[in-house]
Amino acid sequence: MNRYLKLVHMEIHRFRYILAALLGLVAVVQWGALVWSARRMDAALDEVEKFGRYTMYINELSDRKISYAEAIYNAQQLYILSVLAVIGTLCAYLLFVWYRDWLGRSTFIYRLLMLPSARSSIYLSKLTAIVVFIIASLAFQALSLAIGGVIFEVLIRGDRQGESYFVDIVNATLVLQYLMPLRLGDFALNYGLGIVAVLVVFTGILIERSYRWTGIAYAVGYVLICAAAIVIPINVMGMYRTSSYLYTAEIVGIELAIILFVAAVSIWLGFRLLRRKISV
Amino acid sequence: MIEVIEARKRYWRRSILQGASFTVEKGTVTCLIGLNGAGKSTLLKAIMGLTPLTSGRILVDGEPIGPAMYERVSFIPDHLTLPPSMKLWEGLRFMAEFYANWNAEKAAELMTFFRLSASDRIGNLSKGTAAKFNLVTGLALDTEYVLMDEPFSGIDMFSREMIADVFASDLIEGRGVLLTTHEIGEMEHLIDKAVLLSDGVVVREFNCEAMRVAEGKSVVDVMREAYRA
Repeated sequence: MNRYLKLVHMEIHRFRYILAALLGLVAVVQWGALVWSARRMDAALDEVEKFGRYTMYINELSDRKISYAEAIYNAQQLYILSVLAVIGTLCAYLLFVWYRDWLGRSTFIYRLLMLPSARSSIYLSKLTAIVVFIIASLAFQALSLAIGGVIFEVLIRGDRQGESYFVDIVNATLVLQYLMPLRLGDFALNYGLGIVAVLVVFTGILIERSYRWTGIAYAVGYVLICAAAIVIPINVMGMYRTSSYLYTAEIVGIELAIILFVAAVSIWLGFRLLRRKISV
Repeated sequence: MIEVIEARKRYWRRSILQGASFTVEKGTVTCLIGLNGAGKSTLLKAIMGLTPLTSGRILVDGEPIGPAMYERVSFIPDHLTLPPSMKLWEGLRFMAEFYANWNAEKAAELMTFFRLSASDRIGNLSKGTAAKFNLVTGLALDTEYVLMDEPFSGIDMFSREMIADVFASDLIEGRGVLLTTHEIGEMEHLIDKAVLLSDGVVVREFNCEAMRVAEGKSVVDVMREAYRA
């Protein structure tokens, strides 16, 4: 346990600069986009008040107030881009977290595999580090939205500020709806599926590292089979069809069992490969 | 004693090891000798559980490879095994944190002996300095066996002398050492036992001193016989 925690600490320590840079990018892009959007809307409101000219931001029907959620909505492309940059980097990190230890002049995997503790702790530490990065990114996104709210209040005159609730802010962009689902069940499903996907990719990487060239085909096959095992039953059982033979709760139960099975097989296979088949 | 029993290894259709068997005893320096591609490094990695064998067994003091073995056997490969972003002192701290048998005093002695600067970054070390640092991380572990893969490869003359001095010191005494090297001439006086590997099998295994006394042959002479035959 102690060595596992030390490995987790080391993995986080190794990624700290990249994570800090990513979160810095999120802050700069989102706050910059917010300032740009809020100013444009404020200028549009000036136009209406001074010259009676309506624009795409303020029309005859609007209440002549600007809300924080509207400001985000009008700059949502930049919000989406910044979030996708974080997701993309974390996805690339899934591969990097393993391959960097094999490649280059210094092959750290030798040392990791020669540690006097169960090799499963290598797998678990890398997985834990990824989960920590996801939670950190999510927490920072929430913080960024909160700070954005303060920036908005500073930028826009009090009498022009419209009400904005957290639900409106999250609903302002599609990416935030996925990132911060408002229902606990959706939140658990999105992030649970994400973690299972990480497990499947990790095991795919270990298959490739164990069998090398033929391993590439095995790994791709494994990832595709796992994806099919999760996706196909939803369509076959007709989760979104009213004429489905099974109740939605039953389909969800079966699907949950499949997801847990895929996760368990991935962990078991990953541990076994690390213990018996992995090659430096 | 490390026992390698009928070790076989295949990569695709190519056989690297074809039933190699030999032993490494405590208190002796055993040299695994072979031409390029003979399977020397593969054998060392297999002993350390870094590559699986197709068949065969490896026992350390009668027990198969397991996590606890890494407190009893250390491996010094021919390249660095700590992240390049670490500084040398961070590398030493890593070793101290993860190995119960890490001897910090010995590590400090070796750092001084090799004139290494703890504030240097591992990624910036030259090949020779990296080899010395590798020796520090391998020898400062109080293990019963030490495995070394080409400790002299690509290293300048003075650094080689320093590394060779280690073999004559009490850092090695009492341990079972298994090393691979192409510089047999330089190392011959330090080797107790030679294991000659050819085409994945052990073709000769002999005590160097006994060979000199009985047949008047050096290791190089026996190598000529084995590889030119």
